[in-house]
Amino acid sequence: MPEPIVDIQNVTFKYAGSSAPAIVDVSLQIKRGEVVLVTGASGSGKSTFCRLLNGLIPHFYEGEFSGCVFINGVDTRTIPVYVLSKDVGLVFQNPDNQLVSLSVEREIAFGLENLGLPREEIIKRTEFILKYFGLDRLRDVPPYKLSGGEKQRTALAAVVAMRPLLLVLDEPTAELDPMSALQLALMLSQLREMETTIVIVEHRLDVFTPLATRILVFSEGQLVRDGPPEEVLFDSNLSSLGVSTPRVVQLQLKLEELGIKLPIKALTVSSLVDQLSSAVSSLDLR
Amino acid sequence: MVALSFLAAFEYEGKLSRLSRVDPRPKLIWLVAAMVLSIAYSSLKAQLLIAVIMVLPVIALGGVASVVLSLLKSTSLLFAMVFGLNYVFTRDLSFSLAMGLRLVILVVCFASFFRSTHTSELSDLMTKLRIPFYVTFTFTTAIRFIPTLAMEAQEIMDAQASRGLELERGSLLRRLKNYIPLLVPILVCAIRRSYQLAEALESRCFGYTKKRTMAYGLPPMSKTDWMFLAASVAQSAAVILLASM
Repeated sequence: MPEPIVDIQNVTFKYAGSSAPAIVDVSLQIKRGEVVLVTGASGSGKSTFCRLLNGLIPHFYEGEFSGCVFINGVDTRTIPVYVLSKDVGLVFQNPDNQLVSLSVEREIAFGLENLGLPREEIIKRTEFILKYFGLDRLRDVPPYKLSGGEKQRTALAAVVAMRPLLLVLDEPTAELDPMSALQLALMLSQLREMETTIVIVEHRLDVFTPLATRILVFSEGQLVRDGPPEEVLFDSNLSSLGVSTPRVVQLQLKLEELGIKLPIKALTVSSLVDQLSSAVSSLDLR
Repeated sequence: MVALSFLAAFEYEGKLSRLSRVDPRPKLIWLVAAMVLSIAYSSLKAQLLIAVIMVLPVIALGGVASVVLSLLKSTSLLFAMVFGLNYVFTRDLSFSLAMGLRLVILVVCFASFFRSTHTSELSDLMTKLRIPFYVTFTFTTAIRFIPTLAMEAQEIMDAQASRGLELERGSLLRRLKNYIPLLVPILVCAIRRSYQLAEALESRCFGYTKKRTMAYGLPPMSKTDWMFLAASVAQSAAVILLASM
């Protein structure tokens, strides 16, 4: 059996100056190629979970840390963040704070330059990524002149260019309009086809549920649900944990209350429509 | 936002003018030459020579005449102060005019240089000058975050103004005092941003190796660049020659 890319063992972390721990006794494993959607109410420990994955906790944030986090078999306590980040690409909630270069092209090359890759390799990868993410026409534009969606796309492109084993996105749609959020989901689905392991922390489940192979729900620092979307999202108690389920799921739960149970749990509008239309066509309405 | 509109004259215009297509190396030599000569000579004749021989052709090449005019308009108070103070203390009209003109030359030269040079060209230039990477990176990061911080400051000002803070009311001293409530939130936001920036840098492998690759740099100088350099040297020689006659 292949080694999991993420192995978290009984991790508890309390930020310095805080009265309660942000993460309490969390244990889980993430396998290669999984797309994990992490959700929960504000302050439930989602962002702390992200910081655990690339070693920002315990290296960058002071506090009480216990347990172990292994990334690709390496204990995050034993190597610095700037080394661990070669394997774990983290896209932050606010793209403004992570775009440090003076043009989109240089931004994408920045991480590759930090890795000390050969010049030809950097230029080759940068050109590929610029085209792949549709940023070619923006290559000379300074980051502060980009729209919210373009900034987020650039931040994601810059991290993907480094070819991390694990891609972590902390609330990537926080500053995006619905259309840009859908475009981001489309890009992530393409990355999924390239077998990148992806962790997405998000409130807006509608956008990313069709991508996810697994959903984690945090509440008050504890991992309270962990399973495939069909299992986690159809839990009628989920709203009590501060999670707003996708509308397509809400509709099916309402139908169930009315005694109409569909054979397969649909996670997308199109699959729900298919099921409803086949259910309707099987009825004899004459 | 008077101060920020003044800064717009120093903002990169894009590859619009012939000056912006010139390599930053000869432009820097021109800038340093004009600056040094303007500071070295204090006569009105020398300042006029610098303005006519060195500055006006570059303004024409850069197509920045309208920008220079608006810049002069916004710095007119400063010019008047320099001229006035010099005149009060020296009672020398020619010297006072020369000092005022020196200020204008310096401001216009810097504006022409920065309007026509992309900040990444500046960082490449610094790298070429063998300035350590951490200095170049600090410089480019500061430049990169000026618009972001300015926008943040504007948001804070708008938020405070919407709660009744009147920034542009009263005497000069009163107006300065009005800005004090803005300082704390602006400072706190800037510190928080710097912390998040450090976090983001670590997450992008900053410091991974001591042999960091510099994938981009200045291309070799073209014929036009060499001509610009030769012209700058000739202009400087002409100013020195004519000023000492």
